[in-house]
Amino acid sequence: MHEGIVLDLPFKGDRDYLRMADLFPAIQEVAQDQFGALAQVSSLIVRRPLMRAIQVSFQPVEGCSGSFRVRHDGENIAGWLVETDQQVSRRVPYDSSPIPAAAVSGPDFARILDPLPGFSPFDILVSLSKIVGAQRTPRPWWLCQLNLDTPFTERFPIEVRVLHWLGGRFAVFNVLQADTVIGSFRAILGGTSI
Amino acid sequence: MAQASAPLPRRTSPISTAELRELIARVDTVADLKKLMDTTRFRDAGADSLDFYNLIVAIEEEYGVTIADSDLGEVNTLEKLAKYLNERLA
Repeated sequence: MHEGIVLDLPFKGDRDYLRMADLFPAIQEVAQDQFGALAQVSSLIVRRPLMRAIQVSFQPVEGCSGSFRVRHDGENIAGWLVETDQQVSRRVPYDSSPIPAAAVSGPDFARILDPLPGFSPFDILVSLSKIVGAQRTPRPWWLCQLNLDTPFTERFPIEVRVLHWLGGRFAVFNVLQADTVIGSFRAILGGTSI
Repeated sequence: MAQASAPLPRRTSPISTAELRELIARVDTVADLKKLMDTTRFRDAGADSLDFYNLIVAIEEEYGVTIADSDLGEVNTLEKLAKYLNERLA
């Protein structure tokens, strides 16, 4: 029923890997194409930085680079991410520095009150997670897991708040939209391999 | 940081490796840890860091125990994890 679908994603800015912020909207789009407009990505796990084009599959794949679940019509549909041999051929400019500049942050939280032109709500969410992670250590945090109890939408404020630090190397952040917890992000320190 | 909550009731029986295995089954891991042997290291069973940390977070939430950073490297099998938890919950 579902053939693998290769995502046409560019690298952003000077990065040479695809990350959660690139993948989530693309997988959401695939899910809605496949299952209908009400389908929602409810979880996404990215186990390593992805350097090549990514194929989305709804059939189990050994040695996959990540996985996700789609909530649709009372079902929880599993999907897998496979790194192909295909090079990522495009690159688009990206500068996230306006996001920290617009954020309100304090101990273990960061929030953005209103939409920022040029940035999707999900871009903002990811940047907020980085801000909070950097409060603990300025080394890079790899956002490796997103769990959504309710769909991520365009609502503001968007906020990230620490729920759990573990071993100085792993963090669980609550994700809030319009002051309501909608899910969580998990991040691991480092980023080359988990 | 553990969530502030009411103290958990004191256990009347030790935590078994079977109980931990049931808890693992509820964690979304890349490795199939449901049939993990008591003395097999998580990493040797195919668990990556994300699996391990998710497991530890689930255990801390379930039992209201904080596993010290310095001890994370030690609790690398079901058997060691159960022993560690039972010592702290005794």
